[in-house]
Amino acid sequence: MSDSGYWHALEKVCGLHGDAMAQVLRLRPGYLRTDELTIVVNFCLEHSLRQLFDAAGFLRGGDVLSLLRALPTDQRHPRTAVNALQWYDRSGLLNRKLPAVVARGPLFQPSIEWAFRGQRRSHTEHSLRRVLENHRALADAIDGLVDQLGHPNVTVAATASIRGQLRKIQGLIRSSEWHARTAAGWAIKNDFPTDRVGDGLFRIYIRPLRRTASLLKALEDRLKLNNGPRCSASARRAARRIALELMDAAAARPPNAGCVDPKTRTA
Amino acid sequence: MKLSCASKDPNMYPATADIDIIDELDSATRLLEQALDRLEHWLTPQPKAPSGAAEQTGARDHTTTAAQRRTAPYGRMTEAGSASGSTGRAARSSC
Repeated sequence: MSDSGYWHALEKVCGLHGDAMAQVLRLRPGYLRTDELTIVVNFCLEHSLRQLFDAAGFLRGGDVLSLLRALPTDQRHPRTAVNALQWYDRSGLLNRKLPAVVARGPLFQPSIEWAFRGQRRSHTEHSLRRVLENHRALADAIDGLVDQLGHPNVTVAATASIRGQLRKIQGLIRSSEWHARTAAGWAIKNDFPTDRVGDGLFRIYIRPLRRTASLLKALEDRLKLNNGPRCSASARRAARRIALELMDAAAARPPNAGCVDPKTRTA
Repeated sequence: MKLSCASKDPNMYPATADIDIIDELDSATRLLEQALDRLEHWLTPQPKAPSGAAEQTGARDHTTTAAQRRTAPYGRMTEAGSASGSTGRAARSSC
């Protein structure tokens, strides 16, 4: 059975029996929208409901309610609803490109979006901190590489240790790309202006990465490392991917959407 | 990264939301730039002593190596002094 068919059937049931389901989960009836309640019910009972749907091709409200009532007491709790919505919030961002994050827009009603603001901000902070740590590790790795290369006028053989250092640099570049994208995604979700996120990432991520790529290319050419890890190519591609995603995201969303520059704010 | 914004509706969002790791990010980026400077220095071909001046005067101090000339204090003035036949004392005294 198709995934969209399952979601459609579950949303229909949640629309018809929303108040009863909210009572079982100890939520205020009518507080969650139908799509939000669907996310919560799916989070609680996905495995059982999918089995029911695959067997019958439809879902009955009574079945869903009885399955909900059979849950342990500690799971029939508003905290489960919060966990479900947080899971959905994360799934709307991780491993997705930035234009896709922008295109999805706000996932929840304003009060829930507001409640998630602090958590999203801490996610941004976490990812930026990882970018920061990767910068430091990258600086150490490049310093180590220069130390291994020795004197500039001495011809160096492409030793295994240099290749190992380049592999380490490649891993750091890959990690930084993932965290830079995640940090930008959470910031955009939190309603920060896309153009400012782009400016910031350009300064702390794209510009140093482009320089790293060009220097590593010169190094690889000089050492004739054609069959080893091509750090320069992966760094250049990573910078290009993030830059393109930021441009697409900025194009998909007008600048300062939902936000006002504090400097230009007159009120 | 300046990640601050103020909402149109001050009741809905806080007026500003700054992330306090901006300075740390800047310092880490500077650290990376310094490491890249070192790599660039390694990659840049070492400049040779300008041959034009020596050819013009026809005199060149062959007792000093190119590396010594590059690292000599008051580099250009010392070279000029040696090119003019002095020992560099005149150049140093002019400083």
